[in-house]
Order: sequence, then structure tokens, then C-alpha cells
Amino acid sequence: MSALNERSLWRATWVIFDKDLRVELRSKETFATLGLFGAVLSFVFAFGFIGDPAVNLQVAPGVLWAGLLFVGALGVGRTFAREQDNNAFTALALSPIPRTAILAAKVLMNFILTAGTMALMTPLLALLLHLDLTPFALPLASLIGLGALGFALIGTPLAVLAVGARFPEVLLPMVTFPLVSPVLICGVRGCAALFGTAVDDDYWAWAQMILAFDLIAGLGGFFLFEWMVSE
Amino acid sequence: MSHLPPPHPLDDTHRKELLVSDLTPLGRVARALIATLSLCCGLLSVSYADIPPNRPKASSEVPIIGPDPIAKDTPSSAEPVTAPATGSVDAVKAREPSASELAKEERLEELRYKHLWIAYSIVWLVIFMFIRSTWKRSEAVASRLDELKGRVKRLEAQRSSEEG
Amino acid sequence: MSSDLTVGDPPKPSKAPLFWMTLAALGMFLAHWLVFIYAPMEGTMRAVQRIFYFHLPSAWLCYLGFIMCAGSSLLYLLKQKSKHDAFALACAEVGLAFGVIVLTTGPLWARAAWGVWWKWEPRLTTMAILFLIFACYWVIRSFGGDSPPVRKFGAVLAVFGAPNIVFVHIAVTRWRGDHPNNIQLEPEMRVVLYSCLLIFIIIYALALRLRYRVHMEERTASALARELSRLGG
Repeated sequence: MSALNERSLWRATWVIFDKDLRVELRSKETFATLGLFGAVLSFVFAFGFIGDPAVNLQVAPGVLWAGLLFVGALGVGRTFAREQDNNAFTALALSPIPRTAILAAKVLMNFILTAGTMALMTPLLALLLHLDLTPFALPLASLIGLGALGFALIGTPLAVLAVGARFPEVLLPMVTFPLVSPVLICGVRGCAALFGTAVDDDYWAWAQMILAFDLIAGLGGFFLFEWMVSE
Repeated sequence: MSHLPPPHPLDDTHRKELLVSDLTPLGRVARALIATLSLCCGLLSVSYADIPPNRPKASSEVPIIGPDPIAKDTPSSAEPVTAPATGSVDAVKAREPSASELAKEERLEELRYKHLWIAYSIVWLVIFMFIRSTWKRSEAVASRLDELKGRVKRLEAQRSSEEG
Repeated sequence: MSSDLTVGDPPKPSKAPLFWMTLAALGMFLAHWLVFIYAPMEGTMRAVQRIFYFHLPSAWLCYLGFIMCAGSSLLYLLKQKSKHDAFALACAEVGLAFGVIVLTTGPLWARAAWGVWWKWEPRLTTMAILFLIFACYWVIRSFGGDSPPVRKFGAVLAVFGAPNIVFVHIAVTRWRGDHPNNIQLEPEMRVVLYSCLLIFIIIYALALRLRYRVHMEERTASALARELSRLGG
């Protein structure tokens, strides 16, 4: 508890992240719901694309990244759910720690939830669509990880602001999806290049583009966050 | 007139105008007239678009795409159709358009004009919807400001009677 | 919040709007004459090419509106002045209006000229996504309420959205390849295009001014109502 008096950014980030992680590991409610949602989504996609594995390999990138979008939207919507349920949001906002630390901790938590759910959903999708993605495991994981990070970096600051708006559960996905469209385009094309379904395409170029987007979104978000939540 | 107290900051009866238009009531009529005239002239202008193509074709070097919208999506690097190098009579006769090609070209021309009219109608529709929504909001805020002015006056009267 | 508004300041009297509105109306007459009478018929696409003279200026002004919205939103985040937020909202609304023109006239032109309603080329895709982002901005501001958190929500969306488009353009260019439409314009066509651009700039500026004034009047009315409530009126 003495850590709450520390003002350093990293320490404060770790304290909030540690708190969220412990609560999540004990209750598992967000991870369980997201995981189940990912499984349901996998079945929905599989129903739509039952057929030739060659065709499935072509649609797999779009299906994977659509799944990431839906899972991510659900995850960022839950960013401050615990604080709101327990009327602790104001206390968190007024606590004597840098607000950027709150953002960093929440981004990290959203990233872990989204990436973790995709780690479950991707093998399930591969199984249902009769695809063998093991040769592409590491690069695919990196690409999805970068995409999940990009989604968390864009969605988390917006989730903070959506707390004060009407219909946040509708506004937040509506607003986040167009903003993460570069991630979506690069991710889908990167996967297509990886699976060999795109002609003359370069996986590393797409991965670099997502990385550049994540860096700029992260820097912009962290820089602007103090002004976003100042009152 | 110097014995009158200075106007209260909340009293804007001496405002010349309140609104987005900054116009007198006569000016609003003029605005409506201009808007209606513009709409009529716009529609007339669009109808003038139905001019038979009697001008010589412009020799623009537009390296775009084939002219047949009925066909599938053509690549953008399509080359413009050029006449064959031979000048023989047989070649010329072979190039004369058949009846079906002429009919197709006519359908194409009708489609082009139809889309042109629809596009310009949409432009006018957007402009007028924007003007209308701005006008309605300005009217609404004007009536709200009038109501608030009335409340200010009542409050002032009440305060002065209490002080008196 | 709106503490920068002073309730009792009367606006300056001005005849300028009537002049500019008359000029804009006359300009539209002139634009139609130029497009339908003066401009020569294009050789390949024929009549439908005339859509280009309104389509291209609308696209440029749509981009301009969104860039100005993003800039004004950034100023609002940094300075918390109500006028910057009102200006950003006005820019977004005017930009959206021009965006609607672009995204409706474009497919009409494409269908008649190329046979397809839509092509996944960089400029069209970029315009469509930019339009979506600012349509979301407008929906948030229209239906999310007018409280400071909602204004900030919109401002952040606008600030993130505008540079986001650079990424979208780069990504789509890499994906689909750049399809340069190197349209070679004749001198008369160039005259018509730039005249239409000038007329549209006047309409853009006028629309922006009108919309901005409406938003500022609404904020003044809200401030006045709050002041009255505080005073017990």
C-alpha cells in the first residue's frame, strides 16, 4: 500500500496493472467472457466458410482480424467496468499518481486480454477451417500481437472519455473501428503475405507499418492523455 | 438621456442583430428569394445539360479507361482505341459500327446523361439540406434567446421592485 | 467549460453575410454555365465527365474541412476554449456535407465511366474511411450530449483521425498500387475546374461562418440560461 504514495510513472503503472491482474486472475470474469465470445465467433465464421481449405486459407486473414476487432471492442469496453461498478472511478482519477500511469496500465491490461483471447481463438479457427497454421506460428503471433497492441493504444484512451458520454457501449466500437483501420488493412495483408495467398507481398513491410502505427498512436495518446482527462 | 442608467450587461435590447444572418426581416425575405431563385436556376441549368453533342470531340489526351461501362472492370492502364495503320477500303468497311454497337452506344450515352443529372441533383439537395438545417437551428436559438431576454427583464423588474 | 463566453457581448453589426451569400448564389449560376455550356465535351467519358468539375473541388474542401476540424480540436484540448470546439464542430459538419457530395457523385461517375460503382484505390478508400471517422465524430456530438467529456471525446477522435488517414493512404497504396489518373485537361477545362474551386471555396467559407455562428449563439444561450438559473430567474 505504500506504493500508492510513489509518484514515479513506472511504479504507479505497475501498481495499477498488478491490481487489475490480480483481480482478473481471481475472478477470471473478463477473460472467461472474452474467451467464450471468441469461441462463439469462431463457430460463426466457420459456419460461413465451410468448404475447400484452399478457399479458407484465402479468407482466413479477414476472419482472424475481424475476430480481433470484435474481441478488442468488447475488451476495451470493459476497461473501467470494475471501477464504475464499485464507484471507484473518481477515486482513481483523483489519486495522486500520474494519469499517464493509469493509461499505461489499462493499455497493458487490454493488450493482454485481447492477445490472450486471440491466442485461444486462432488455433480454434484453424481447426474449424481445416487449416494448418503451425509453419506460420511465430510471425502470425507477432502480427496479431502488434495488432492487439494497436487496438489497445487507440481504444483505451477513447474508453476513458466514453465514460462520460451517453451510449458508451455503442459509441466506443463505432468510433474505434475506423481509427484502427490501418491496423486492419496492414494485418490482413500481412497475413495474406504470410499464408502465400497474396502475390508479391512482403510480410515485413506490413509488420513494420503496424509497428510504426503503434509507436505513433502510443506517443500521441500518452502525450495527449493529460489534456484529455483534465477538468 | 444621460440620466438613464447604463444598459445591463445581460440586456441586449440594443443589439442590432442576434442571429447568424445578421439581417433584418427584409433581409430574410431576400435570402429566401435568393435560395429559391438559385434552386430554380440550378434545375434549369441541369436541364440544359441535355444538349446534343454537336461540338467536335475534344482532343484530350486522357489516358483513361475504356468507354464501355456495361463491360467488366477494365484496368486503368487501358490504351485508347486507335485506328489501324492500314488505309484500305476493306479495313475501313470492317470498322463501320454495326446496329447493335450503335444501340449499345446510345444506351451508354443515356446512362451518362442520367448519372450526370442525378449527380447534380444530389449536389443541390445537399446544399439545400445544409442551408435548411442551419436556418432551422438559427431560428430555434433566436426564439430561445428571446425567451431568455424576457426572463432577464422580469428578473430586473423584480430586483428593482425589491430594492425600491 | 464555456467560461470563456461572456454573456452580454453583442455581435458586431455586419452586412457581409448578405454580400457573400449573393456572391455564392451568382457563383453557382456561373459554375453551371461554365460546366454545361463553356466546358468542351470530353472525348472518352463524354457528358458524365462534367461531374468532375464539382467532384474534385468537393473532395479538396472535404479534406480541408477535416484538417481544420482536427487542428481546432487540438487547440480545444490544449486551451479548453469553447470557441475552438464550436469551430471544430462547424468544420466537421461542412466537411461532411462536401464528403457526401464526393461519395455520391464519385460512384455515379465511376459507374458510367468504368462500369463499377466502387474501386478499392487509395484515394477513394482514404476518403471513405476519413468520412466514416468524421461521421462518427458528428454522431457523438449530436447524440452523445454536449457535456465537456463528450466534447473531449469528439476532439480526441478528430485529432487521432486526421493523421490516421496518412497511414490508411500509405497502407492502401501499398495494397492496391497507386492508380494515377493523370487526367490531361484542356485549357477550357482547367478554367472551369479552377473557377468551380474558387466558387466552392466561397460557399465553404460562408457555410463555415454560418454554422460557427449558430454554434456560438447556442453556447451563449446556454451560458445565459445558466446565469439566470444561478441568479434565480
